Amino acid sequence: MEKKVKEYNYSHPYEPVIDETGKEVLVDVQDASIHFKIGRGKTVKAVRHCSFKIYKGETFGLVGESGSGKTTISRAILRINHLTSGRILFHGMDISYRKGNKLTKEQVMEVKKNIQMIFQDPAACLNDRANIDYIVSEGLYNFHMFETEQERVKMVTDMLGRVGLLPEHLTRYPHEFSGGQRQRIGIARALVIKPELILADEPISALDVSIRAQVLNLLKKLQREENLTYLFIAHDLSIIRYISDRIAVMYRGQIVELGEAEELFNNPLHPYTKSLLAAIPVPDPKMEKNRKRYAYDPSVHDYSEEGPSFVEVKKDHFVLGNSKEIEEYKKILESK
Amino acid sequence: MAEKSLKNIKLNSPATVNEGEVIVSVKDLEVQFSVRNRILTAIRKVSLDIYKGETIAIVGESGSGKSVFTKTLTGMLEENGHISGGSIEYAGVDLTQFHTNDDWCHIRGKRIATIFQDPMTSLNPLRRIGSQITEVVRLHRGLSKEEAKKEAINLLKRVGISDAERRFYDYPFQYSGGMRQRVVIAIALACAPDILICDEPTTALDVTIQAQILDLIKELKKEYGFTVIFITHDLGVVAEVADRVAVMYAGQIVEYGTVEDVYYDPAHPYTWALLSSLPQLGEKGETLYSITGTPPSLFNVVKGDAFAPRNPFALEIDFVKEPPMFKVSDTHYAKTWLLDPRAPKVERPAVIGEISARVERIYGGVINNGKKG
Repeated sequence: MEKKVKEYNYSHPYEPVIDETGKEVLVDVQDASIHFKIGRGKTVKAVRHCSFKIYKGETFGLVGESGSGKTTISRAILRINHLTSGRILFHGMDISYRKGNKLTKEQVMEVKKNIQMIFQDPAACLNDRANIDYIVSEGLYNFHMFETEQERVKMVTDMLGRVGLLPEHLTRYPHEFSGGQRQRIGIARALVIKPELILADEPISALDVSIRAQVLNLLKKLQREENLTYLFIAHDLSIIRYISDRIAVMYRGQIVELGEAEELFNNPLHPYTKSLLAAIPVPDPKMEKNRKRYAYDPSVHDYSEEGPSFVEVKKDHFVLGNSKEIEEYKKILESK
Repeated sequence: MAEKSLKNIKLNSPATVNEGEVIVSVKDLEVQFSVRNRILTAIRKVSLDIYKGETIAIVGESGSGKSVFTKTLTGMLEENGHISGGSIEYAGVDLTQFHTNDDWCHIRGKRIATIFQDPMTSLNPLRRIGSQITEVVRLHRGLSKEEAKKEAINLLKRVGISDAERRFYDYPFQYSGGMRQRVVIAIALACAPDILICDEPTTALDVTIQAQILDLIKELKKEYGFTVIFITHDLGVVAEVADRVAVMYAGQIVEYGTVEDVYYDPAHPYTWALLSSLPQLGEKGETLYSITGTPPSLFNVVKGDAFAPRNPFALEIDFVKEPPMFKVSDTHYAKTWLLDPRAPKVERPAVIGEISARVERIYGGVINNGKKG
């Protein structure tokens, strides 16, 4: 049977969405909740009423412990997870994968082309039976992004060069590469179709210490060259601090604090953020030996009378709390 | 195996070694593996003294031989590996003579216990937590069933598992990752070992849980007085737990000293590279220092200094002759020709020497906040 090849138009159909801060909003997550049914009538509320914006060209860091919902929300942006309520806008267009929000096939393809993912485990995310040429070209085939074979080969070799691999690697298979090189292949595969947003889900946690710096440098270089936007997910705040412009801290499906990286490190307000920061192992023996830990106890919040809401306590600094707590947080900020 | 078990193994009692004295002495240890008819030398002439009561951290990238090195202490090398030279002196015997499981029974678990990275590789998923602890207690300490159960519950409480009486009957899958690691620690403690080897015990855990487990190990060390050998690649963790550090590269220890020696005055270019590539110390907008290339293949004989091809500070002699261990101070040694009096002076990377200042600038506020909370 002959397959009908449909031509898509991937030129930029969007008007830039500028918010009150004057920056271009790429992704706008509005009050998103994601629940999973786990049988016997039970549901897991993996993400509860999360709202945040990702601006064009920035690196937005998402931290939290395992099970806090950071991967779930990023997969919802990619239209893999179903939204229970709320919505996700991409360039102002509602792209949420949710009942009652039907997108045309073109729109779905458009979203997929513009949002790509880099995974944690570079050994698991590459097809063992495919050579590098095919792995990197797959997106090009899917989105019909080349006219001639020469054009495709040129695009692929260019991309490999930019992530620091050589043309002779094209005919090799993933098992022939080291962990760091595989992660480079994963990055090349995501970037070759020229996406706007990259969801990087713990891209360096599976790598060796000596290679982490290389991959972080590469991600930064590519961001400068292509004006990419990153959603960077990690459980390690110290790495997030280095790479991110703004950071959101998640705890049990909620964003408890959001702010610029420096602000969050200088003035953490929510007790959970404080405990996360206090747990960072720092490479300084003297400081390490004298420090005190600080464990987070969710029972410090008294939400029996009034539930918490997500409030902007200072310009670009949001915290989750009820009105009493917010007052305290504001006082702390003023006293500094 | 053809080897017969050694008769009359007499180990000195742990009490014969005092705090601060040498408990394990490794000399010129060499370990080889045969892989598809080729010989891989994983450990190349390593010598190290470990002192009683200290925490020594072994750091290095994967494949540097840090796990293999500690496996020789408990006879847990893979089938295709063997010790091809050197000696390991512990409690008055040379452990390199041990071959059979019967021999190792005197040591493994009883005197030297190990905690691994992934608790599920140590726990049996089909057996209740309680029975896995009582098994060890009964085997090594010969307690009765009732006593063993009591002891196991005590141990569970000791490692911070609340409601231990009920959780005694749970299966591993009912425990979270951090709690499973606590159970593994409880099993390791069951025989009050002399030495506890921690092989990346917190790598698979979240930062907050990692902090708890590290605190627990430190606390227990104080209480039980064992010696800790800590394997990790996280230099932040090392700074927290260790008294001394040994840096491994390509099957050799290239530098060792107290944590202060290694962090504030590192001498080997590989240590410089490891420290300056840490994202924790990176300034925004600044490119991180990164090590180029890959470690040498240990199937071949390494000529000269193994790190030379990746080392921007390499001297000509580094490619020809292997450097000896140079003494920096009484506690601090490094294996690099740069310490030779004839070597030219080189400028260390900028980050080295200002680590404290950077950490203070970046994390000072945070850590103080933690104290207040």
